Amino acid sequence: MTTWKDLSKEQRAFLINYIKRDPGIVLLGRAARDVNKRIIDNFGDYEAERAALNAAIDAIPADHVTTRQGPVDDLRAAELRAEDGKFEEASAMLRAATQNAAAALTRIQTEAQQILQNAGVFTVPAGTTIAQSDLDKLAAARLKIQNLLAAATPSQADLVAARDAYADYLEIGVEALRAQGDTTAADALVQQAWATHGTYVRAIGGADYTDLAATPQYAQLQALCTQAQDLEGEYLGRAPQDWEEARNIAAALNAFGAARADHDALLNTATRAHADAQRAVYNASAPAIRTGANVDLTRYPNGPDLAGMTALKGHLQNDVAHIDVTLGGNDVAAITALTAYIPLASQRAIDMAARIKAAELQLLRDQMTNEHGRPAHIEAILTLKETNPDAGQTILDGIAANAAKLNGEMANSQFINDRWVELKHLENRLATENRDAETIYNRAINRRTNEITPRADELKVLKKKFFPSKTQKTRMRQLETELEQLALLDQADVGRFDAKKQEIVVTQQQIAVKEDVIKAAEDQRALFDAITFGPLSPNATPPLPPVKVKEMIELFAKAPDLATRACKLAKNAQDVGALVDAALFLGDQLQSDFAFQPPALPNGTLPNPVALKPEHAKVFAASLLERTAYLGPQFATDAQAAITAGVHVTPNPVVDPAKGDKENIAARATQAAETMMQTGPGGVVTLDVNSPAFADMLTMQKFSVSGTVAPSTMQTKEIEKLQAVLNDPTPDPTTGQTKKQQAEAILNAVAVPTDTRAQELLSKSLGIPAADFTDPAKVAEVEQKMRVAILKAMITPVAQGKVGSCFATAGLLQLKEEDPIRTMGMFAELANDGTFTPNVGAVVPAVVNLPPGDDPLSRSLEYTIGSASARLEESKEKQAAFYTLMAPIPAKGRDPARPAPFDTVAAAITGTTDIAALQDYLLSAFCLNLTFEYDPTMDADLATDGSSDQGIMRIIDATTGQVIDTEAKFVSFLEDMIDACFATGDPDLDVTDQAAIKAACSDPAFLAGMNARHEVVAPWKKSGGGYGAQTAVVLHGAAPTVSATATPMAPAVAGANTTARATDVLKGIANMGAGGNMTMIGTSGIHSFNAVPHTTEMQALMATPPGIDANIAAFAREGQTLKNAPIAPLEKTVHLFEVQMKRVIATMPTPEIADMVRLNMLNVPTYPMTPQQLNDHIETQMANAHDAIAQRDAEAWKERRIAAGKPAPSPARMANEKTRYETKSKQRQERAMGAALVEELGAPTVVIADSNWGDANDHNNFVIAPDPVSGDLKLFSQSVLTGELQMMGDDWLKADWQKEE
Amino acid sequence: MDLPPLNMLMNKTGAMIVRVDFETDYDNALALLGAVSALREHPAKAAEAINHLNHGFDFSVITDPDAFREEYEAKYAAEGDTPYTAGRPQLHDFGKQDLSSLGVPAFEGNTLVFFARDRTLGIAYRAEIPLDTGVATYTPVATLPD
Repeated sequence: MTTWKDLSKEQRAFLINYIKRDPGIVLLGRAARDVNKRIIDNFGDYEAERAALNAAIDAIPADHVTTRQGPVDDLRAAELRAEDGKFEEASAMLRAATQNAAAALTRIQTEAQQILQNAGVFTVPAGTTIAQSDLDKLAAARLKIQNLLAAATPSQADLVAARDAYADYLEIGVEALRAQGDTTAADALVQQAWATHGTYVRAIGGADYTDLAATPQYAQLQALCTQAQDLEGEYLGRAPQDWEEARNIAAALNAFGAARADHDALLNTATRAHADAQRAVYNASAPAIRTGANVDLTRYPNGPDLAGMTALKGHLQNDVAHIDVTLGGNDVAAITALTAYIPLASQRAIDMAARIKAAELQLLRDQMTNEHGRPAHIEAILTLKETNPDAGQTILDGIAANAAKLNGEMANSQFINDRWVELKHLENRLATENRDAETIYNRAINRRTNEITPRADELKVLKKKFFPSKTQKTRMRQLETELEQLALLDQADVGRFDAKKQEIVVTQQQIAVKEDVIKAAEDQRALFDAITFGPLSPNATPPLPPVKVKEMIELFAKAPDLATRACKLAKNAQDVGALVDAALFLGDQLQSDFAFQPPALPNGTLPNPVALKPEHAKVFAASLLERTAYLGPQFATDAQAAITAGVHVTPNPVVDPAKGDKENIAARATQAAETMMQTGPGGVVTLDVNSPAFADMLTMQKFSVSGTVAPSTMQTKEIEKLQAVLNDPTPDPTTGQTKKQQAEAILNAVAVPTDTRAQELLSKSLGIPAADFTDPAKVAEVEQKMRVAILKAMITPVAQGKVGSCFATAGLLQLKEEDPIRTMGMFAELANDGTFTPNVGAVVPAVVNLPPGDDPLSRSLEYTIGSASARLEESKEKQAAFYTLMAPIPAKGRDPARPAPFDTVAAAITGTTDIAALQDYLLSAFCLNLTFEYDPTMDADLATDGSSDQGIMRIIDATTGQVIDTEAKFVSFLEDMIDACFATGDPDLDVTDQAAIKAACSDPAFLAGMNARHEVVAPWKKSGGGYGAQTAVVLHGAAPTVSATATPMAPAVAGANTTARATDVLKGIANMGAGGNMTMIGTSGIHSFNAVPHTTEMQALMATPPGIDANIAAFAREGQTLKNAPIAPLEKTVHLFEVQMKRVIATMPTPEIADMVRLNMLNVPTYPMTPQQLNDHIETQMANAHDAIAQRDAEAWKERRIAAGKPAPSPARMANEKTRYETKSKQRQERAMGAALVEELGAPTVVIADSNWGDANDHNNFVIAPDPVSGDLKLFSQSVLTGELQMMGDDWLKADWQKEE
Repeated sequence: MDLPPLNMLMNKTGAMIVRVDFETDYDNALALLGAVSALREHPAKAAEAINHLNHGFDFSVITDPDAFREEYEAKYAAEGDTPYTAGRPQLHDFGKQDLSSLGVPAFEGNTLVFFARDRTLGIAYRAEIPLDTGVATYTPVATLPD
């Protein structure tokens, strides 16, 4: 029974469909309510039944799917009825279903209870005992069943599992019943098995196989061990009277025992494996141990530690015996102990090896000492032997190979000097023998001429007489007697002469042998020096790889001169590795004189190999080596490729060995010029510097020997520079043309010149006949030659000739570097018009007064620029004169400011003279009527400012042509000018002032003012020389007015030392860093050249931090370090001594003086000297040579003087002259030495400038480097090719340094 | 026509000027020729003035060709074949000039033609100044063929 209100919201929603509507009629409405009430009641019953069935279904565990399916189906059927509103019918169906579900539940629970009950006790027959183990198994199975059926209603799965477990339970029980037997017999069985194998099992169970852990058998052994321990445990822990267990244990014990042999075999195998492993360790050090144990100590009777070696040898012998025995046995522990023992033995062997090595080195040291090796050399060889055994052995092999030649000695200065003395004796003997032979010869000839021949002739005449007189007969007999006597004398002299000739031959042979010995010794000595402190030493920077050291040592044996040269070049080489590789390659090539095997001919014939002449081969190799040092790895690669291809033996057709070097270099330039030009339609010329022909030409020029070896390194470089210019794709910002197009335009614009200077230059350049310039048929030919001449000039290196044109050279060099096309245009102007158009001033005709052999256009342009500069200098001097007269003079140093000289003149005026008018007149007269002329031979008497005082600007009165060289003449000139001014009749000049104005020109204040400017002693003694600033204006100036463009860069500082001056110069150049590659500078009165502020070394000096000041200071300190450090080892001091002495010897004026110095080379230094000490030592050795040189030069001076008609000098004057020559000789020697020390001691160098000096093959830079003798920074010139230095005089650094652009 | 007094001067700025009649300064040829028309009747003076304005420092007018030739020949011979010396120009550095055409200053049509000596180099130039432009052109006198 349920009311509407009892229903849930969902139930109401469901039921509303079945509720009848009230029609609105009361009676009928009541009836409807009743009906509805009944429906609601029935529905309530239905819902209650449905809930009951659901509860019954839920009571059955969900996995009893089949059991639950019936009630579930019933529920669904009832619900369908309810949806039809048949609530009563549905309720009945639900009630029946609920009863069915409850019955199913009961069945499940009953089955579970039955299983539990059955498994509770396993009933056995009376008198039967189940083994405990089986009881345990039964209990375990029971417990499993109980766990499965612990729930009141077990799930279907648990119930199924419980059924299975119960089956197992029964199986266990049945089996237990089946297996029951005689427990006593079982116990006896197990006891018997233990008695048999128990001890063994216990032993195995207690075994420790750790030592064998690394063997492959270890795992098996360890398993056996575990198995034995388990067996014992099972035996001891077994239950009494457990028949089955006893049976199993007994079986296991018996089986384990039966496998004893297998176990022993396994253990034995493992032990061997262990021993083998130790032996493998031992084998690594066994040779050393055995060597130490067996060393023959009698070899080292003077060994450094004989007692220690003896004891160690005993230890090692014991070690060998102990290890061998242990490894042969089965004592695993002992074998294991070798793990610690073998390293100890090995260490003893290492110690022994070290002692053997030391003993061997000592042995070698003793041997080399006995062979008179120098200590430093010996130690270097020993070090090499230790650190680079192959190289060390090569040295020793070399010593052995030279032993016979060097009398079993190692080369040293004493040996070489002794041989030199012997050589000198031999040479003296040869000279004596030659003289003796000559005497004999002359005597015999005289006898034959004066005594034999006249007598023979006379006798011959007498014998022709048919009837000689008695007197004649007597005479005939006398003649015959005399002739016989003379013949005997003659015969004796012939014998003597022949004997003397034999002596001479023998002496010559002895000399040759001696020279050979000296050469071999010098070569060996050079090698020793190279490995001791040279490029092959471990201290070289950078050190060579060991294999290269060895190969270089081998090269000393094959080609000693080449090897020595390579060592010398190493310091300045662009790439030392490439240099060494090149040296090795060239050394091999030298063995066959660069022989080349040409390829087989078409007919299969193999031509004979072609080689260079031996003398050419040596020079060629040396040249290639130098060029490799300068140009680097690419050149070396190219050289190898060219030589491999046989270019070196292929003659360059333009080179004629019969001609001079200059001609051949010009021919190469012509060849290069012609190769790069191609003529197209209409005769239009194009340039191609990338053609195969051009490449072949370059290779040919670099590497073809062509019957002469005269490399043109710098010219080749110029060709490559032009090649780079023509390949530059950057268009000109103004014209849009590339440089190649601009160059082609210049070349295509040439026209046959009418100017005779141009014709002369072209004729000199290319041999164009004069007639060709006017021959219409030759126009194209001449124009083509003009192009060649222009290109030829472009590839001619700019280098100063023998004249003082440095300023022009520097200007042209810089212009060509910075603006090659403009330079080409200038060459073209010379060729077309015979003129040069300066930027400032009138056109200048080409200079045609040229040194023979120089490239005409190149040299002419340089000289013509020089002429334009000289003209500008003349103008500048006039401008300077103007300033001298008119401008106040500022204070300078200790000199006070002064009024303008003209002020003195103006102050003298008392009349009506207009001062401004007078000023114009005087100015014009002074400037326009003076001319200036440079005289490089005159002395300006300047002494204190550091600048050169050689060369002055003379002034000449243009109106009279007279030179003004005294104050009186100068004043007279001024007075004349004043008179001329007044003679014009200008009313602004009052004649009453004329005398006073003239008098003012003698006023000391006026003259002092004239002298004060420009540091002149007097206007007529103005220093000059070097027109760098003017050249800069000529080439680059834009202003039409004349003005000095030089700006101070490092002005001279009175009293400053060279280090301070070098510092100023370096900083001055560093300040140019932002400019081009070259900047024109000059040292006042000495030289004009180009600074190169972008060199690597300059850039390093500019590095910040720490900044240029600190960098230069550090650079300068290098000098002090070198100055104060003894040159160690002693052999290096000796080496430097000999290098310097040889340099000096090469400059000696006569062989006698050279020998005098050479003899003093025997006085080698005996301790490592500082550079100053070495310098002093050499000075001492040079004293007699300087004296001889001075005496010789003074005598020559005296003879010249007398020859010039002058009286013979007094003894005092002669003494003075000799002193002067002696000083000069010492200065020459000191400069040569200073340069050598910088090179040899590896002092750092900083390239600061291009000197302008050089030729087609080489060029010189200026570098600053610390002088090891003084410790000061000095200026040097340096060959770019060889790196050789020449110290410049201090006056260079102390001069005014100016920037001339 | 008489010429007024002409003074060849240099002023304080370093510029070349010709002062006419002690009063008026001229610094270019065209203005001077316009102001002193008498110069057209005095080629030597005109040459001196115009040379002064153009190259007063560097050139002097050759007014006596024979004297110049004589001096040139003597110096040329005296030089011999001395090599080029920097800073000391020599006549033969530039080849032997053909001085046959040398003459005194003259007007050739509307052009003033004269010869000038390079004060530094010592050699002769031919100068031409068209009177309508006043622009001077200096050309080295050619050399004799070898």
